[in-house]
Amino acid sequence: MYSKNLHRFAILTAIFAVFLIGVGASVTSTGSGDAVPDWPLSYGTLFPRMAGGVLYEHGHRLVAGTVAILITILMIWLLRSKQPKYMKVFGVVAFVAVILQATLGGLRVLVVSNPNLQDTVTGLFSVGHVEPVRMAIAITHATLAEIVLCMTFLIALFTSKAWEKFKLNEINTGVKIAKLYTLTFVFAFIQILIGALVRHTQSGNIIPDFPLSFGRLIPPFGNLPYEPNAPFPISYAELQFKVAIHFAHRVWAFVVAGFGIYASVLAIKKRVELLSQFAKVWIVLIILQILLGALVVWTKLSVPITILHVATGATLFGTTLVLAVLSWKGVAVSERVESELVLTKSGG
Amino acid sequence: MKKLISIVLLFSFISFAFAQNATVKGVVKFSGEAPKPRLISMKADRQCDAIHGGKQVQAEDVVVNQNGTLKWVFVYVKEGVKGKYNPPSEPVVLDQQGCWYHPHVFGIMVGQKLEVRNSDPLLHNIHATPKKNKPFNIGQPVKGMKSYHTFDTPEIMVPFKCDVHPWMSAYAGVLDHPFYSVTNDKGEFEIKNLPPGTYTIEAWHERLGTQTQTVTVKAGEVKTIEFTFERKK
Repeated sequence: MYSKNLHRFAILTAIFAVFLIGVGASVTSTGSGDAVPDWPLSYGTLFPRMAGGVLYEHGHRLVAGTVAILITILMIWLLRSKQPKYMKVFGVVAFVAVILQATLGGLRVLVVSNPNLQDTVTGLFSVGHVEPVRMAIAITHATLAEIVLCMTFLIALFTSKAWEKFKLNEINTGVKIAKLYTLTFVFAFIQILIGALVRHTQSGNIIPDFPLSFGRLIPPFGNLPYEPNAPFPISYAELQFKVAIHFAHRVWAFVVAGFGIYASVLAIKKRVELLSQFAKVWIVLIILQILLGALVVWTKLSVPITILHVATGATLFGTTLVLAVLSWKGVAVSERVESELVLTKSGG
Repeated sequence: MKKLISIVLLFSFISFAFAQNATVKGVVKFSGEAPKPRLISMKADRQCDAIHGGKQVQAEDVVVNQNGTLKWVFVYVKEGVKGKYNPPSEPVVLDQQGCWYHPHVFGIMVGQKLEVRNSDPLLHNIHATPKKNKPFNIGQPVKGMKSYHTFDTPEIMVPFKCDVHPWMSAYAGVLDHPFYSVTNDKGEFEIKNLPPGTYTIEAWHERLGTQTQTVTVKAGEVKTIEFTFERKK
C-alpha cells in the first residue's frame, strides 16, 4: 500500500540515521565521548554551553534524540497504516533497537563517570578494570547503530513505489546474485565489527603506510617496530594484536569489495531497473570507501576523512542489505512465475 | 624539665636520622635541536580564547628550557625502596585555570588526597584514564568547584584530560613512597631523604619516554646524576 508521505518520511529517517552515524564518528574521532560525564542530562541541563568537546557529545545526543523521535513516529505511522504486517514488525524492531542504542550510549558514559556502576559491571563481568567493558559497550553501540540504519533503509525501500513495481514485475534475477549479495552483506557486517574494533582500540594508525604495511605486503609480525621505553608502553603481544586487526580490516575490505563488485556486475548485466541502479551506486560507494580508507592512513586519522569513512561504510552496508533483499525478491518472483507456469502446463 | 629534655632528644634523633639520609639530584638534558614550541589555539571555546586575549598558548608536551634542559620530567625511585611510607595529610592540588592544568606533571602518594579545582568561569570535566587504578570522570561546570580523589595502586603515569578542551592534559606519578621529583624550568630535580642503599632511578617524559639509572647512596651523601633525552625521529 503505497503512501508518498510515508515513503518520504522513511527516507528522511534513513538520511538522519546516516547523519547520526557520522556525528557518532565525530565524537570518537575527536575524543569527546566523555566530554559530558552525566546522562541522560548534560551537566544537569538539557542544553549545556556548546563549546569544545560538549559540542560533539551533546550534538550527538541531540541528533540521536531526533532520530529516536523520527523512528517512533515512523513506527506509529506504520502501525496505524494499512501496510503489510512485516512492515509493522520492522517499525517496532527499529524502535526497540533505537531505544536500546540510546541506553547503550548512556551506559558507555556512566560506566566511566559513575563509580557505583563501574564497581557493578567490573564485579558482574569479573574484570579487574572497567576498560574492557567500556570498549565492549562502545563497539556494541557502534554496531547496533548500523542495524538501526539497516532497518530505516529497509523501511524506506518497502514503502517506495519502486518496490511495489519491482514486486509486480515478473523479474528473474537468479539465485546466484542473491547468494552473492547475501554473502557480501555478512562479510560487510564482519568488516563493520572489525572496523569498530580498530577504532575503539586506537589501532587506526598502527600501520603507518598504505597499500603496503610497514613496507611489506604482510606486516612483519615477528619484527614490528617496538618501543619498550615509550611513555605508555604496551606489550609486544598487544602491539601484534593491534596490527593484526588493522591488517584484517584492510584485507577484509578487498574480500567485501570482490564479492560485492562481482555481484553488482552480474546485477547490472541483468538490466533490472531498481537492482541495477542500486548495484551501480554500490560500486561507486565501495571505490569511495576504499579511497577514504587509504586517506585515513595517509592523513594520520584526519577527523573529517575518518567521519566520511565511517558514514560511507554505513551507507554501503545499508545498500548491500537493500541489494540482497531486492535480489532475493527477484528469485522469489521468478520461482513463483516458474511454479505458476508449471501449474498452467499441467492443468492445461 | 623532663618533658623539655624528651622533646630536645626526639628532635635531635629526627635531625640525626634525616642527616643520615641521602639526596639524589641532578638535571635532565635535551640533546639535539630543540623542537619548535607547539602552539595551541583555544578558539574551540571562545571563553578560553578570551582568557588568553586571543593569543595561542605554548604546549607543555616538550618544553626545552633556555639552558638546554627539559621541563616536566618526572624523576622517581623505581626500585629499591624498602619499608612503608604513609601519605602526607595535605592534598596535592590540580588546578584548572585559563583552560590549562596547573601543574602539568606531578607526583602523588597512594592514599594521598588529590584536590581538583576549577578556577575558571566555565565548565570542565576531569577525566583520569589510569590502567591500574579506577578511571574517573567528573564534571565541574561552576567556578570554584572542588573534587577529591585518592589512588589505590602505584602507577606510572596516570593521564588526565579535559574532553571539553582537548588540549588540556596533565600526568600524575602515583607512588607508594615519597621519593620523586619533577624537573623545573632549569631542568633540575631533587629527591631528598633517601635511606642509604642502591636504587633504580627512572626519568619519565610524556613524549620522549623513559630512561633509568642505578645509583648507590651512602648515609648523608648527595649524589648528582644526569639524564639526557634525544628528540624522537
